[in-house]
Amino acid sequence: MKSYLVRVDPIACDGHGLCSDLLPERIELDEWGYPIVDRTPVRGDTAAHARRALAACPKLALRMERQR
Amino acid sequence: MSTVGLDTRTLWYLSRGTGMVTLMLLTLTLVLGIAAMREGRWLRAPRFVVSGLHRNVSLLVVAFVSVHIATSVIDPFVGIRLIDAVVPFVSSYRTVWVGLGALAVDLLAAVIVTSLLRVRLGLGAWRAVHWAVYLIWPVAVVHALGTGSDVQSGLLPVVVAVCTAVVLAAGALRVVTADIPAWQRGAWATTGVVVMLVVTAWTLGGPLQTGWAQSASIVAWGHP
Amino acid sequence: MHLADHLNHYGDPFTAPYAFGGRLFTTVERSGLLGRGGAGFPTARKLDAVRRGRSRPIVVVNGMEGEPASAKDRYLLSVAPHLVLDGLALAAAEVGADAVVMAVRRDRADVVQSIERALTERHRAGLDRIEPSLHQGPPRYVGGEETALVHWLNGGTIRPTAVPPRPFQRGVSGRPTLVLNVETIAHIALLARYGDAWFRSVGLPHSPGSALMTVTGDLGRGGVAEVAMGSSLQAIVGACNPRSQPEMVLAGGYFGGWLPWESCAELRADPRQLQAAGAGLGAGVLMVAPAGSCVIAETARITAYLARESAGQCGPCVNGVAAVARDLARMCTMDAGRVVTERLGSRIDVIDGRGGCALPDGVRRLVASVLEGFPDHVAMHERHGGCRTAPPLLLSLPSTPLGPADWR
Repeated sequence: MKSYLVRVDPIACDGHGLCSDLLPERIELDEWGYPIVDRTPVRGDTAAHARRALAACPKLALRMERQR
Repeated sequence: MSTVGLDTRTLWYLSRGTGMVTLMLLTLTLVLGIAAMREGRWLRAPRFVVSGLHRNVSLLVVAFVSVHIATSVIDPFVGIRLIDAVVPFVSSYRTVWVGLGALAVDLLAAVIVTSLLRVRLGLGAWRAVHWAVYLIWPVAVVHALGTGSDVQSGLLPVVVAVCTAVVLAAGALRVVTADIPAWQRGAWATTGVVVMLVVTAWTLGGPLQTGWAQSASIVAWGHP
Repeated sequence: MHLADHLNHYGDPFTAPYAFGGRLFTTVERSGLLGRGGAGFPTARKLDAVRRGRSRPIVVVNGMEGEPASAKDRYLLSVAPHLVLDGLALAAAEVGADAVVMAVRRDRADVVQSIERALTERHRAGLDRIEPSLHQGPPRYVGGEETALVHWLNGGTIRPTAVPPRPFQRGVSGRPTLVLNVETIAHIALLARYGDAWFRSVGLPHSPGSALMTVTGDLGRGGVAEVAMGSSLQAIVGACNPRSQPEMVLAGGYFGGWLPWESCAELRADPRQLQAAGAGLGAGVLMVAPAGSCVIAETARITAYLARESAGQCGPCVNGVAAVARDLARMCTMDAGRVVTERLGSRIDVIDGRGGCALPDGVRRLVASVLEGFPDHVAMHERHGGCRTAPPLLLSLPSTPLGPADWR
């Protein structure tokens, strides 16, 4: 099963927070509404949720990197 | 040629009915799109719900407009070919008005395809094409009023009036809250009001006048 | 130094013994030269990455020196511009570049003059195959950050951009871009003449050679000094004739950390050791604060400056650095207490690593050094909202207010 690292581009991110609603397993919001991303890799179902979060971001600031 | 069990009258009703529903769904999509851009929660729903609804309602628009096109094409009475529904202004039946429908469909296809491929395309290209939605809606309205044999029968003008009111309200909200310079705000507001007035005037002087259906057709195939 | 004297002293750069015949890369690699702009990246690795690029590279000399307390780069450019320009020509030849750029701050008129004079001399002598173009950039703290500089050279604002790609992959005009600090490039010019063995004859195995350090504070003889890596901090400060008993040292400038003077007895100009001690060597800045200074008041001013200098692109930085600055200011009034200290501690951990550049990381390091290195002083501020003395504020913050237009 492929595993991925979820990362956020802090410059693109505007703190809309959809990612945290869609991937609470990895993303929490800080006191100003910006994502704190857990570095634990995602795979399987969680990866599917991550992909949804990635597509939902209004600024396309979320990235998924294939973990080797 | 008539398909199984569907006679021309049924097809005609389906075509007009799905057309009206398409217009209503298009209106709802626009409202949801504007709501999705707002900060914070909307009616206590998280943002991804609003943007998800926007996406799903737009796909319903695709579904209904497809049936609207299919029934219009299949119906033997009005001689609309499939090509007339996708290439603007080549139809022999009510050329201009059906053509506008085709234009709306083309623009819609561009918006839908780019939205489905948004992650791959990137924000720049996606956003550029998405501006077309502000053209799709008025074009669809003029198409509905121009082709519609229902214009004078009471239901369509009411539907159009309600949808217009909703779109104006949502549009006003968008223009007022957008982070744009004052001159752009004024430009959008003016354009919106002018377009509405022009279309209203045209509707009162055109489709709502008796004899519109006949004059709108270049080839009249008799009365459905 | 004028060109004739420079060439008399150092010789022709292109026939220098350790650069001649394509030996420059090996010399730099063997020397173990690390970047002197603050990041300390191995220079040979940068050279190698750029020369393997897909298109013709471009070399950029980073003379932006955004750190307010640092003066070494402008000193070098004023006093020895030809050394820098030699290094630039040699580096460009080594990576096969066809364009070279010098970037300095536009508020350093003396530096600009010195470079222009040097360029004219070299032009008349027909010395350089590729003539550098000089660009004068906005005087911002983050202006020295590689990606920010490249973004500005490409016509944008002088703000950091997302990586990847890094400049060595795709930088100015989309080409592989070698960005080197002024001092690093000057070292390349010296390595070409004197070789790697000479370079390694001073310094540390993991951080060889000498470095320029800017030592400021209540000193009789402060300024820019050439220091062997690994020299004792107390010895360095001692050589600058402090006029009063030092209480603490800011090692690494605004991007570093505070060290109590007693701890400086064992500390050296060693990037690894200083980082382990909660500070850093950075661009070689040492600010010496005398007895009676208030580390919290000074840090409150620094963080307020850094908050103003944030590029404003990333939420954790824009909000976090400002919140940290506000809390430090609060600690200097009656409105303090344990709550503020704890909030400071957790906030700096939250912003760490979550910006588009290392500004929030620097703030974490700076504030953590205060909370961990000066617990008694912190406790005093918690209880009394200040310290007993009215401290002299020593830090030289830029006085010209910068507006939004000053990002281009």
